[in-house]
Amino acid sequence: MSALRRFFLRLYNVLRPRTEPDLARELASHVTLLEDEFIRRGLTPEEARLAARRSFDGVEQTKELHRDARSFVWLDDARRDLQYAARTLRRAPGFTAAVVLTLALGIGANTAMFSVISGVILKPLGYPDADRIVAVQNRWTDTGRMPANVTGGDEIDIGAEHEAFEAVAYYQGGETGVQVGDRAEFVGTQRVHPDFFRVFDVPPVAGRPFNHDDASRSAIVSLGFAQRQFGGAAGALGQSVRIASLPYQIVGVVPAAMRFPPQTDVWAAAPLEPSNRNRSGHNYRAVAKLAPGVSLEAANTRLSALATRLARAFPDTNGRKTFVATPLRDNLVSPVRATLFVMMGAVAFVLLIACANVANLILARASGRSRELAVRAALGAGRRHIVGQLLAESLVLALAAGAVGLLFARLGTDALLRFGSRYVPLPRLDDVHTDWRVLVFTAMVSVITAVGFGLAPALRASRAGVSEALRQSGGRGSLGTSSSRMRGGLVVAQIALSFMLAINAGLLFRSFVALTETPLGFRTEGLLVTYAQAPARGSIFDQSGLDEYLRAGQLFDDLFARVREIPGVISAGGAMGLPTGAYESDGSYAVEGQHTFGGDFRKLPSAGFSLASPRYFRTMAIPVLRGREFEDGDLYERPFVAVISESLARQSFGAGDPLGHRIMCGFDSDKWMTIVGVVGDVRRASPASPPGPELYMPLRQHPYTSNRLQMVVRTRVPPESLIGVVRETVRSMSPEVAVKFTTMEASVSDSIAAPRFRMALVSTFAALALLLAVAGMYAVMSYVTAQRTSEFGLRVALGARAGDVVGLVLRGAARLVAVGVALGLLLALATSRVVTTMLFGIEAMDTRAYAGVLVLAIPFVILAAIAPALRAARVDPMIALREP
Amino acid sequence: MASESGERVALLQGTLDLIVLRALDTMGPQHAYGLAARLEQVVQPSLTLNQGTLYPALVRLEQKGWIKGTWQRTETNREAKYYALTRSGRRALHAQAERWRRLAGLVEKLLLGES
Repeated sequence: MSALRRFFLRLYNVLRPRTEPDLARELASHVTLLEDEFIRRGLTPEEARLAARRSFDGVEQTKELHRDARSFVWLDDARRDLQYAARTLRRAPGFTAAVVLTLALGIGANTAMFSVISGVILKPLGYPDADRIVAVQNRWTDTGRMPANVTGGDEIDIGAEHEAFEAVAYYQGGETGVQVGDRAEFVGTQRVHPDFFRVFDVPPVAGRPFNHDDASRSAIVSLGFAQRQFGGAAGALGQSVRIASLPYQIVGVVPAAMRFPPQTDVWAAAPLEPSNRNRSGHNYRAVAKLAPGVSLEAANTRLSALATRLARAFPDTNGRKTFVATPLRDNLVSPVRATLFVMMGAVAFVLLIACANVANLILARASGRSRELAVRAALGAGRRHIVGQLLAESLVLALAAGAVGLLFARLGTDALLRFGSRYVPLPRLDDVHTDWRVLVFTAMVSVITAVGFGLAPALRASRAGVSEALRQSGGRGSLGTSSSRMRGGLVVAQIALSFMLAINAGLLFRSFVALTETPLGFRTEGLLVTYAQAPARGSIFDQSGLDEYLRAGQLFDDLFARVREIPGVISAGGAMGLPTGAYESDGSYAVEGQHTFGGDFRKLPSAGFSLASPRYFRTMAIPVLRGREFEDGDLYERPFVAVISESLARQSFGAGDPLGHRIMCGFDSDKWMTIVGVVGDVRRASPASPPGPELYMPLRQHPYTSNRLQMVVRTRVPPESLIGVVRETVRSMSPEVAVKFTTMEASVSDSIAAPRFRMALVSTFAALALLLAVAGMYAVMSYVTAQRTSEFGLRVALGARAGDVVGLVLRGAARLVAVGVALGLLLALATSRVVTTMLFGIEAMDTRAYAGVLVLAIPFVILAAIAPALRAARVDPMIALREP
Repeated sequence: MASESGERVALLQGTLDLIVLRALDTMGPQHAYGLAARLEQVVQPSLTLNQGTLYPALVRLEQKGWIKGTWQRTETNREAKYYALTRSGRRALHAQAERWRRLAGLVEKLLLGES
């Protein structure tokens, strides 16, 4: 028999009042038996009953004794306290609502944020043995940079490390045109080594995973794709899809749990070895599964040993290179870590401010009630009872806040997923659940706050002594100066924290504005973007597909011509590597007479590579600074030409004239290209990327990727309105061409989705924080002015004007604001280091962000004091003085 | 609550618990009234026991799982809750009795040695 069991029995007894009737019944039976005995001894029934009772020494007293043994007295008391607390709180709906909402806000925001973070990112990946799945990357030993891609040659060697890895799989892909029947569609497609599904090991819902015989022949599709295209998993098996005109037979359908790489619907089995085996083109990514029992460190040791061997064998390409395996989960999280950190910080501060607010409210209430407590103490309530009652109130508040907070958390989670999913790549709604651990944690924090601040005044009140509290004047007993100092301190803390958040939000906001206002080097308005992909077979490198690719180039040129005829179109052109688009390429180039192409690429200058059609620059409104843009005559058979950007001209030719010089790069041919034009710089990936050297080549002279491009159409009508016509035009020319539409404005906007998301989120939290601070300010000033009502009455009676009283109150408020803001500025300076890396175009010390926040926010906080001040000024001196 | 009286109660409790267990052991299942009557017989008349004080002991013992109460009818057809010794109660009785005997022996020895 353990103490624990007794504990639970007692607990059970408290929660189960059924034992009470049982006890009464037993006592009644006992008394009856006693009566029987007394009657047997010769007493009358009446006498017998009395005697029985007497010898029992009071039934109620016995019940009490029994009850004490049966359960914890304090728990019975607690139940009573809780009921009483609920009643009391219902009688103060304003206070209750304020506390519950404030806490619920903190709890809800934190729970929502952490639920999303843990559900989407921190949760195990959900694959069998997910902790053994690693991404294998390059690391440049001189710069420390870790690009995601590896070369084909290196991948083959890594794949041979059988002692470290159970399976290694390379993959490559993105959104690509996939043909089902005679329809073409842009679908997330990856070419993966057949062992890819040994790494992830997700059991298919139909069919089977790849084996090595599937290489270049079979495909596995997502359940969603199977349902969309074939009506279900079973219907998809045996069907074929064509990717770049090559047929792949569907052998398996995987459930939604298989979601690597993100947004993939088709996994096509690639050859067992990468087709491009050189060691300088970083074209592939690699994942691997550690062999059972092999640690990450051991695998990395083997990888670096391999890298050392390769560095000796191929010093030109591998001299500065090593390989690193990182857990796939870390790999997925690391790009968003900074954002997560900011988000978690902001939301935690909101909770902190909410707690300060609640503390303030509870302090105000407790000090207002000191007289009530004193009366209770005078009537014989022990310290334990008074404290217990206050604790019960805190608990009821926290529970209510937890419930409302849960609701907020649900709403917040949905909102976050809806707005955040554009940025954080993975979320699927059904995968994110309210994180109970966080809910419990935040609820605990709020309980501790409520209890802590409810307790301090309670203890002081019960210690202060009954007579003192009762002697204090009037119904508004006070707990004296130390309490108001504490409340002032809490308001100062709230103001400081909320200003810190607001200033950081201001920095992010200014940075975001700077991003949207940055000239990109082209005009974004009125530009329709069409991703298009035509089927083409073979490869241009072994000439097997050259004709088809050249034909695709012709097809697109014809398309541009047809589109230019559409009413509302000003001009049209195409590019491979559109700014803010999905494709990007860069590498080294050589200028004739300055360098030789080949050998150590480190010695060569580098630039971004793009392909462009005639009239591309005109359509984009990229200025041609010298020479000409591409013309219809710049075809494959004609002399190769190139256009360079201003930065490239500066980088390689200084002040000299680049026109007529010849240039070469390793894009898809080793021919010298004559520079015929210089154009303005553009920002490539997003407004945040600095304008850099760019080498443009004619689409028709570089058939390597000529089956896919991005068509840009400058319109004089809203660009979206032309989508239908353009789609029809494409279909009428070739139904096998897959198309996808967007506008340049949307594309640019997407490229800064991450900073927008951060800015919106931090601003929301900052606004919440300021709101709470304003509420806190209002509460404190109301309390203080109420305390000083008679003082104000006296002042007015002695001739003070209303303005003087208002000024008096506002001066008090201004003191709090001044201290709070000063602290907030210091905190902002200290924390802005965190957001520095996320800022664009402004300094972390941006004075306009600081000034803007101060100018906008300070009036609000001061305004919060005006209502109480006016109330104080309206005090009727007679009434104020007559009040006890 | 002062600690000295706490001690006294504990001693009394221990004694009362042992007496109740012993009574149930020798008499078989009994209701509270029967037990009280039995105790009045056993304990010296000068030390009359308030019948109510029996209940905390009964609750304690039941919570420990040493006795178990069930509602039954008496011979006079009154309903009453009959308490019976459980197996662990019997074990506890032996252990307690043994402990008590040893304690009593020790105290006896000490008192003898002092006089």
